[in-house]
Amino acid sequence: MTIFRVILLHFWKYKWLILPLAIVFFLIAAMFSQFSDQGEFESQSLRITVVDYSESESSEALIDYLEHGNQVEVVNDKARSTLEEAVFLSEIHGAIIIDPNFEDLVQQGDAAVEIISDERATASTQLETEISKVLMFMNAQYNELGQLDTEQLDTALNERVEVSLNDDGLASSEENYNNAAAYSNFAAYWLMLLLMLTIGNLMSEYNKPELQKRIIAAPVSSTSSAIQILSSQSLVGIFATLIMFFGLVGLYYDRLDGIPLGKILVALLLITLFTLAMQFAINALTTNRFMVNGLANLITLGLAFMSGIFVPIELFGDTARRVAEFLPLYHYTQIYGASDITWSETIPSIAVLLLYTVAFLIIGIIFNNQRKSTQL
Amino acid sequence: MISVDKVVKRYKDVIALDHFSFHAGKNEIVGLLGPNGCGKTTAINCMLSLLKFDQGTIELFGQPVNPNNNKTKARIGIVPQELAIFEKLNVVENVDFFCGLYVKNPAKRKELVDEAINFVGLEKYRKFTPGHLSGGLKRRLNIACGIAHKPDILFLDEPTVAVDAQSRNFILDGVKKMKDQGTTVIYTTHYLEEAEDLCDSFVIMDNGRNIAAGSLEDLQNSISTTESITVKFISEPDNLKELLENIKNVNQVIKSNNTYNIQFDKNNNNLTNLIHFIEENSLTYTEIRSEQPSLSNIFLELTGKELRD
Repeated sequence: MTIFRVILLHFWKYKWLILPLAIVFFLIAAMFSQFSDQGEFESQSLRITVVDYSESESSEALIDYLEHGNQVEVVNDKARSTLEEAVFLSEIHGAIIIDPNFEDLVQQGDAAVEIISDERATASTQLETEISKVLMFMNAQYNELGQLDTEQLDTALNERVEVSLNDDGLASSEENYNNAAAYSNFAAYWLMLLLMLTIGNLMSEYNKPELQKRIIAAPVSSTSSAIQILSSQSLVGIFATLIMFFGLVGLYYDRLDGIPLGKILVALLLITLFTLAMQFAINALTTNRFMVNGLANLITLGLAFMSGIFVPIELFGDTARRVAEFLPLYHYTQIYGASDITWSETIPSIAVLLLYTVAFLIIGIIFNNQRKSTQL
Repeated sequence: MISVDKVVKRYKDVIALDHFSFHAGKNEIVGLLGPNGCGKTTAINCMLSLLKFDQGTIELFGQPVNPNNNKTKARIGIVPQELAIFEKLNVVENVDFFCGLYVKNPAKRKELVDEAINFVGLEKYRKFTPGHLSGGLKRRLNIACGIAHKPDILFLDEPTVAVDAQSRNFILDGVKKMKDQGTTVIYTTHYLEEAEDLCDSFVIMDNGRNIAAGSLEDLQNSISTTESITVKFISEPDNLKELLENIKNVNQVIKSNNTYNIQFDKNNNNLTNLIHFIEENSLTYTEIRSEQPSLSNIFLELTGKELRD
């Protein structure tokens, strides 16, 4: 167990690299966990300018409704550019130009008003919602009664309904899942970076020809040596995986509904095994420490970006998305791809990750044998 | 202890070892000498079963070498020329790891590790990592890692390269002590004076072949360069040069003022014969100095080149 011990001892020597990385990770994760549930929307009083070219009963009804809770200025004529400038300068939240054929257009269900607003502001959404609500009711009345009853319209628009939500579990469990998925995505990047940096540096020293000469000359069989190396690395990998997993459980202990914990654990274990196999292949290729560190950053960052770890895959173009489907980290995310994903649905992704692991192991063994035959 | 018989090792078309043979007994320090690329390291790697060879036999402790013979491997120590130590581990951890490859019992291992550290004089630096040690101290650590398990055969490959005089003396004294404790040492070096002082016997290699082997005396007798004696006379008869030339084995006499350099054909009681001649002729002298051919002379004559060529 001498080789096993010395590799663990080396990991311990890297504690000042591992600890800050772990602390930063959990601080970020804890912050996201705290603030993820704070999104709220509250309607506000809007400053609106209305240019009424219709001056009909219907347009007055629309203006009357908008005057509830908002500051409305009605004008008969105003240049469009002036209105746009006022919106641009934030003097008003929006302007409405009512078409001269307002009533006809409403009856036909066509665009009857033009809204000028800053689409980036939430006020724009509020204004559009209010107007479309009025127009829908008007259209419905025309269709049903053949004319507009302003009293009935006013009643319908201002009617309030008591709504009590019996159960909001579905929405909150979806939110829990989204948070846990984001955590697990980032955890994979962290695990890969940590393992590749520590194991890469450690093994680049361990595989130095002069050290290997001493180790091979000692009475330790190559099988025993390989088993000790593999088991010590796996132990560290599993330990890191469990820290990530229980970190998730700890952060979301009161919001575990909807989180596929079993699948996340399997995904974390598989990505750890994949990383160990890939690092084995890299170490068989080179013992140059700079190369090892460079590759660790390049591969982890590259894979993370291209597999939708940092940027949602939905934002990718078709080609990038097709490429991502061939990458191991993409399949890692697919193992917990939905809150209600079943084990049978995860099998293809698990198989792909296992295949990648085996492929890198084989590449590593081939290069390792080649390196050993040339170094002595 | 070590028997290498007509070993041939080829790297494609290049012959690294060409029917190389040598033998080393118990408690012997054997100097393996030869210019760069002569096959020393290949020979050592074959003996350590790190390399397969094409022909011949190598036996250690009467057993043919075999990479799977852990019993034999457990009795061998190796100190490579390059520093073979972990940069992140301190002195104790380094020695403990390499000793641990041979000795499983923790208590016994601790004892051996302490002993090895004291043996190379690193007791003050136990918690130092190699990065905080000088070049000489790193070399000592390199040696401690190879000897901690008390091997019966130790391969020392250029252990004194790039070390200060103090560390060099420390290392050479240590090697002598190991010999006294019963270890057979195979020692390769470029420093011939160092080898001459340390080794009991020598193997001189060139182009993968063993071109001479034996004790220093054996080697001196095997070459044409022989003993020369220089005498500074006080009283000298006119025909002294002729008289000296008549002494047994004298090959040539070179006179310079009252100093005579007498060169002999063979290394056989020459000094005794000369002193007897001086007494017989009632001659007086102030200085008499005998010079045997050095390992450098031997090496030069046998290989036709300096060791550093």
